[in-house]
Amino acid sequence: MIERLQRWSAERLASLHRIDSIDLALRLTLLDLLLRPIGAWAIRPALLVLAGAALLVPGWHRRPALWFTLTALTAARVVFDWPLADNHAYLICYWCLAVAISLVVSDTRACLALNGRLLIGLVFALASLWKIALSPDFLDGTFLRVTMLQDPRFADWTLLSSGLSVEELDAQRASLDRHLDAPPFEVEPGPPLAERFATVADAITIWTAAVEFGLAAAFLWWGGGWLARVRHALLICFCATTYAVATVDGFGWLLIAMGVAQCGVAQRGIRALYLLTFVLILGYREVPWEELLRGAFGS
Amino acid sequence: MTDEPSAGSGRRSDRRLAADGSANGGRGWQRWLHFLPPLLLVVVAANQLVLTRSSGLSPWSGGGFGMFSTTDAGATRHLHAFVIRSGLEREVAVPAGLKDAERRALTLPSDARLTALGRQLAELPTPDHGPASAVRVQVWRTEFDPIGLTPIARIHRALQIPLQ
Repeated sequence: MIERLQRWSAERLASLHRIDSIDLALRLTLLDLLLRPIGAWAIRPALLVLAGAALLVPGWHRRPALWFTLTALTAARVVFDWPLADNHAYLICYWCLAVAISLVVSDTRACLALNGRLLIGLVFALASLWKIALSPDFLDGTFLRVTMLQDPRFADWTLLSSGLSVEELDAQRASLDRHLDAPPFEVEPGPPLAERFATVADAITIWTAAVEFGLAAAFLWWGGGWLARVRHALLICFCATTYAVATVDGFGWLLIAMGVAQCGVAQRGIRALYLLTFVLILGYREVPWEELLRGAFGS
Repeated sequence: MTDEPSAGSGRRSDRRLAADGSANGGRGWQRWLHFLPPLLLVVVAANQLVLTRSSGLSPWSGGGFGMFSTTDAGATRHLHAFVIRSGLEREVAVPAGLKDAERRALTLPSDARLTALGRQLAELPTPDHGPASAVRVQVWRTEFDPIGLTPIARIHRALQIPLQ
């Protein structure tokens, strides 16, 4: 029984290793569209049907017409939602276009890898520009402190990492939600911030700025050397850590698909790590791990 | 996973992928096509940067990848609107039917968007008599003191729209 199980696992692993990077990247993109549907009722059903059909019908995921249609649908979402669409909406549109173009030019692999690299590099260059140079309240820690307290999506992480009680978090939230829309505009100071909370928020601020700048440099760097060699490791590390806390899984899955597109045939280990991270992000979404950990440690 | 290319064909394709990931293959028009998606990203992001400076667009929106960089998201802004009738100024609440227009105006409070919303709000019934002479729309955002996180309200954009 154990032997059969081992043989079965080895066969599955071997077949996984044989999958071409392009096929894998395209299928992960389609999975992203299915797992994190985008757009309103007029666009979403068509996107879901197309992504599902392309995963089920052999060969469909390599058809340029499919990807041009997905590009049109994702672009329509951005246009109709203007100016409300988020980063994921834009990036999935650019990536669908990149896939479509790659499938009509003569060198599909090189075109897709180039687009994956440039899109990731540009995304993180712009994110770094905003966080480091343009935003008045990121580097001083204000953004992360406010977000960890105010955004309900971060509540479990805040409670787990900072040691705040639910009552203390509620009190901080109530304080942040106050606003006085008349002179003197500023309200009374709220309850003091716990030292551990401030330290955690500031550490995440520094880590985020550093890793995003590093990703921009690594993916936009045109030469070889160590900067080019750390690309995949940095992206996998970013996705495995960031999306444990930030609940924007669709963006993470898209980055992984774009990373996979840059893997050569021999880079089986890296592809496997990307796949593992894809599953990890799904786990972050589906398993309330912060709540479980808090329960286990009695905090 | 039935349509897997052989490892050999993959290696042949990989030779076209230069060490730095750049696409060396392809003829003239194809080489330009390779760069279309990144070029599109840069153009949209440049437009977003201009709109944040000229029309108060929230850095979170518009395709400039400024999400999670500032507390000034469109969803954290709020709006006050005042209808002016014969010198009397009365604040009006945004009805459910205009919530979508309000969200868009909060995210991108351009003159055109605020004017369109203001004109619709001016048509709402109020206890005051006579035709509305103007409507004043204010978009507010909340900043936070970096030390104690004390909220400070600020007018982000304001526009008075004459109606007659």
